[in-house]
Amino acid sequence: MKALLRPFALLMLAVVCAMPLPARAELHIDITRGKIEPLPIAIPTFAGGASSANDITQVISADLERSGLFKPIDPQAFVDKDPASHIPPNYGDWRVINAQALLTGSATQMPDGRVQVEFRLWDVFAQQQLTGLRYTTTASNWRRIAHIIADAVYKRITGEDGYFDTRIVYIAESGPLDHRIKRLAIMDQDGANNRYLTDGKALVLTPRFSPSTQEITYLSYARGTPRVYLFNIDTGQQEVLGDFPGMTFAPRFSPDGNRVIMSLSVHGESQIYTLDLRTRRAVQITNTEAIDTSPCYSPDGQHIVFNSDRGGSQQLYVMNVDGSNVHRISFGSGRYGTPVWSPRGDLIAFTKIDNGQFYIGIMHPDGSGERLLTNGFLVEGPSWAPNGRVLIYFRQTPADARGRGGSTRLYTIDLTGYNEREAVTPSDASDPAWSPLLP
Amino acid sequence: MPERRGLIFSAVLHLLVVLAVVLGLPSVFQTHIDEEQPIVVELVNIGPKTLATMKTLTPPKAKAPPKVVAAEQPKPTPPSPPQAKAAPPPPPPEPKPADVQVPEKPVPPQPETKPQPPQPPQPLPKQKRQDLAFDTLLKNLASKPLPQDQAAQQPAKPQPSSQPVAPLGSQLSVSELDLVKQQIEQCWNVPAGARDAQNLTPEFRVSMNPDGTVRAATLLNPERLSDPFFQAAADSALRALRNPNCQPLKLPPQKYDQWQIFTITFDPKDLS
Repeated sequence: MKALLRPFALLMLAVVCAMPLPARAELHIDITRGKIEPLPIAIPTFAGGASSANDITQVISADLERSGLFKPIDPQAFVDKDPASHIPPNYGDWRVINAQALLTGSATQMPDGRVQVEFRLWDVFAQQQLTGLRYTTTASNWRRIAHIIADAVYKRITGEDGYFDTRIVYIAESGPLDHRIKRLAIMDQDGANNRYLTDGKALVLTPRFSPSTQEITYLSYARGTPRVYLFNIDTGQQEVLGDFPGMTFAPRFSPDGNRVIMSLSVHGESQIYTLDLRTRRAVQITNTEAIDTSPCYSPDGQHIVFNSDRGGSQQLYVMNVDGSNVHRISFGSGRYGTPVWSPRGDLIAFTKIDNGQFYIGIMHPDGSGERLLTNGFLVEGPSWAPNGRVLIYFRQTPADARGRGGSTRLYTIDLTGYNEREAVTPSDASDPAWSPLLP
Repeated sequence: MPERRGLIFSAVLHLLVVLAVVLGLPSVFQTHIDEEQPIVVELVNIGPKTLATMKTLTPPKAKAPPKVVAAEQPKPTPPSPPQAKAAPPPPPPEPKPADVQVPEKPVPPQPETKPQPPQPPQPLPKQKRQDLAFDTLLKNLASKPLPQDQAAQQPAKPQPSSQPVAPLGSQLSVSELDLVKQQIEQCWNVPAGARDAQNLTPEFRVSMNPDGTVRAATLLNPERLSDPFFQAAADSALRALRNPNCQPLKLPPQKYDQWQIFTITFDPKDLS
C-alpha cells in the first residue's frame, strides 16, 4: 500500500509545485493622443570635401523641411560643428540641442571624376543607426543624389515612400491676360531645372504624367481643334492620340501606362473613352446625354472616378472600369470636379465650387470623410505626389479693375491641411501634374 | 341607581382618558434609547475622477510665407539618371563603418528603388468610423462640424483598460495615471497622414528605474516590424518614451512596485 501511495504523493507534489504563483496584473497605459509636430533633425554639412557637399546638404535639408514633417535645426546651434560621418556620433551633443534624428554624410571626389556620396541616419534617443547608404555618380548628378537621400530619410522615419526625386510638369503662362502664351514646362519638384517643352505657339492644357514611361499626355490646340496629344520627354516627339470625330480633352493615363482615358465631345454631349496605346483601339465607357468628363482610374485599375451633370448638377461618380455600376459619391453642397484618385488608393482629391468659393478637398472613394483642405478665389486641378500624402494645385488671385496684379501660381498642401507652400516657378503657372518617382 | 350609573360612566371616561394619554403620548412614559446606526464609509484610494487637467491638442499653425530654397539655383542642364545607384537593404542596426554596402561599379537602377505598386483600396465601411475620428485631428474647412468633432471636444473618459488591476490600496490613482499619460502624449509625434494610421498600435513592456526614467522598453508585437509603417510608428513611440523632455515620468515613488514594469500601447484611434 505504501509503495502505491508514494508515486501518488510525488505526483501531487509535482502538481502543486508546477502551479504558477498568482501573478499580479501588470499596469497598462494606453496612449491615445499625441501631437503633430515636425521631427527635429540635425543635418551637419556633409564632410568629404567634394565641391557639391554643401549643396547636397542644403537640398536634403530643404526637401525635408518643405515636407512639413521635419524641422532641420539651425547649424549655429550645433555643439559638434563637424561630426565624423562614418562613426557613431556623440549622442549627448545632439540630445542637448533637442535633435531627435541626426543625418551625417560625406561627398568625396573620386580620381575618375565621379563623386561618392554616403549618409547615415541616426536615432539620437535610441542611440542607433537607422539607415545608411552610399552612391557613386557623376559629379553633375549631385542634385538627384540629394533628393534620393532625402527620400530615404523620409521613408525610414515615416514608413512611406518619399516624393523628392520627382518632377512636376505644368503650364507656364506669360503675357497679357487677353493674349496669354501657354507653354508646357517641366521642373524638379523643388523648382530646380526648369525648362520648357513647347514653344507657346499653340495653346496647351492639362498635362499628365505617364506612370511608367517618360511621357506626358496633354491637350493642345495645335491643329485648331483641341486634341489629346502624347509627348515624349526624352525625344521631344509629340503625336495626336486617336482619330476621333469631335474634340478630345481631359486625358489621363491608366495605372499601367498602357491606356489613356479621356473625354470626347460631340454635339454638346461628352462621353468617356479609353484608348489603348499599343493597339490604338478606342472603347466607349459611358453613354448618356449628359456631360461626363475628368475621368481618372483607381490605382488598381478596377474603377474610374469622373464628374457628370447627369443628376442635374456637376457631381462625382465612381464606376467599374467597363462602365457598369455607376454610383454617385459626392453629396455635399456645391459642385464637384476634377477628381483624382490617390496613388495609394485611399482617397480621392477634387475641386469643389460652393457659394462662389473654390476648394481643394479629399474624400474616401465611397464618398465618406469629405475634408476641405484649402480654398480661394480660384484653386483648382489637384494632382497627387506619388506617395499620396501631398497635393499640388494652382491658385489664381484676381486682377484689379485695370487687369493688373493678378497671378496664377502652383501650391502644394499635405493631407493634414496645415503645410501649404508655394511651388516656386519662374512665371505664372497652372495645371500642375506630379511625376512618379524617377526610375 | 343613577349615582351608580354616573360613577360607572365617570370611571369609563377616566379610564379612556388615561388610556388615551398612555397610548397617545408614549414618549412621556418611555425612556428612548438612542441606537447608533452604523454609517457605511467606503475607503477607496482611487479618486472618483481625474484631477489632472486635460490639455487640448492645438494643431500646428499653417506656415504662411512659402519658403524659397535659397541654395538652389536652377540649372539649365536636364537631369540624367545617376550612373550608379544602389539600394541595398538597410544595414543592421549596429553602427559599423563598413555596413554601407554598395557596388562600386555602375549598376542599372534597382527595382527596389521604384515606388511600390499602389495597394488596392482598403475595405472602407469597416473602418469608416475610426477614419473619421482620426481625421478630426486634421484640417477641414467645411463649416458644419462632423458629429465626431463634438464627441471629440468632450474630455476623454478614463480608459477602462488603463485601470490597474492590482489589489486595492496600493494601485495608482486615475489622476496619477492621467498625469503620466499626458506627459507621454506631449512627447508623442503621431503618424498623422499615414495610411491606416489608426491600425498602427505598437505595444511595449517598459521597465523603469526608481527615479522615474525608462530603463528599457521592449516591443511586444515585433512580428509587424516588416511593415515599414509599423516600424515608423514603433520608432516614434520609442522616441516619446525616451525623450529627455518627458523624463523622469511623473510617477509616485512610493508606488514603485506598481510601475517598475508596465505595458503601454500607442494608439492614435482617439485623436481629437
